[in-house]
Amino acid sequence: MHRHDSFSSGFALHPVSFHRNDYPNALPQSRSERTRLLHELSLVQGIIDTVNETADEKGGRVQSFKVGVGELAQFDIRLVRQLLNDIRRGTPLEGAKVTVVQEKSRVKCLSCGRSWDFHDLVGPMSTDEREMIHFLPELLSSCSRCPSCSKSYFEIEGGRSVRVIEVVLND
Amino acid sequence: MTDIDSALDFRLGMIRRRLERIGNLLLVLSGKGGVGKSVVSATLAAQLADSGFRVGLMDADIYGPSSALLFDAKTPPEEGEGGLTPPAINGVKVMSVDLFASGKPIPLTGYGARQVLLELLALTNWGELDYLIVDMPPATGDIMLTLTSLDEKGVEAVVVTMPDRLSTTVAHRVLELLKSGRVPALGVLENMHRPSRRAGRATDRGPRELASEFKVPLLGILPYDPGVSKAVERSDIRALVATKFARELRRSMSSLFD
Repeated sequence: MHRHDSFSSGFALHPVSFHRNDYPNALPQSRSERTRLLHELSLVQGIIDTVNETADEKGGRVQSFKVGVGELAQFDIRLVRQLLNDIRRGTPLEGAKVTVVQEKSRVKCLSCGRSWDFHDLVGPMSTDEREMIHFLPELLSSCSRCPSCSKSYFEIEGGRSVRVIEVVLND
Repeated sequence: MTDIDSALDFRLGMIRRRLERIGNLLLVLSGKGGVGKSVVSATLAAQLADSGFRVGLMDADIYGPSSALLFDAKTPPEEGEGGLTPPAINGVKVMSVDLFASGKPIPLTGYGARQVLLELLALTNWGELDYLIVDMPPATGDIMLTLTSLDEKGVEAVVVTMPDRLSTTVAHRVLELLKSGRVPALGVLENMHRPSRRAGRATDRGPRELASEFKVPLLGILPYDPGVSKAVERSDIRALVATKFARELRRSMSSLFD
């Protein structure tokens, strides 16, 4: 197992342009929903570019990679999967096996020690607050309190946002 | 077969690609709160933009953001395919967590603050910039450690301190960390200087001695200027740039304007 902590410069990029018109069926009508699509496009593009760069840096070809979609950022997992498949087309990742899994969110109160599901906290939130944590999941503590002790001293234990869980290279 | 485990944080790749399009990343820090980092950062950003440079201002003070207030920025970042485009005010692209939190308290652990910073840096579409000024938070915690570990070319720092020993002692620690982290310090800026009735008081020598010890220039001595408070009260960046403080700051940082 090789641990990869940082990126050095000097390796080729494989950026792929995309346009939201490529997703006419996926493009939601409300501003809030469109925002989410654009945000997901941006992050998925970031994943594809970074995985490609890492493979270049390591001098290998990506055999498979696994992406986690955390509940807290409220991404549509089907859309993430579709974008991953579409955006990697024409890149060295095209032939790789991709797995996308939903990751359950757990939030721990550092004051009383109780752990909570995201759903226990999101209920009373306004649409604006949900949008805020869609972009910046840690701001959950700005708009929520522990249902047990009422403090806003949280730690997100898992399922915060989209992340790369694993990349397997053929050496 | 190589397995690259979960330490592959794709946001770091996004950040690196964004910073490649930025000529100079200038960290404005002090270690101590209340010495004027935010006002120095905002004023410098506005002055550079006035001089025709492409400028961004990143508010890295995640717990106590003030850049949006100084620029009277209220418009949320615009979502696009390339990420979030910050609002441009007086020619400066301003990004702050407060554009999302809208005045709400921001109670975060150090780890949480780092996540917010990484997310903002990864998502913000600055485009091409000549300067990205980073208004740093007080303390030498996660935010400073994250930003001084980016290992990017073109990262430099300016250390702001008040003349008193409380400020210069903390600034000393910051300069030590910059030195050990190999982040070049452009120099020390003394802020809120009040002429001493007794010339040569020990407290007045602090910033100069600090600069001398670390072999960096004392870039300038910025006066205490009541006009700054008035401009800040009104969130009036034009009034801020017109102050005596701003004129002295422009003179002190003249090398950036060449």
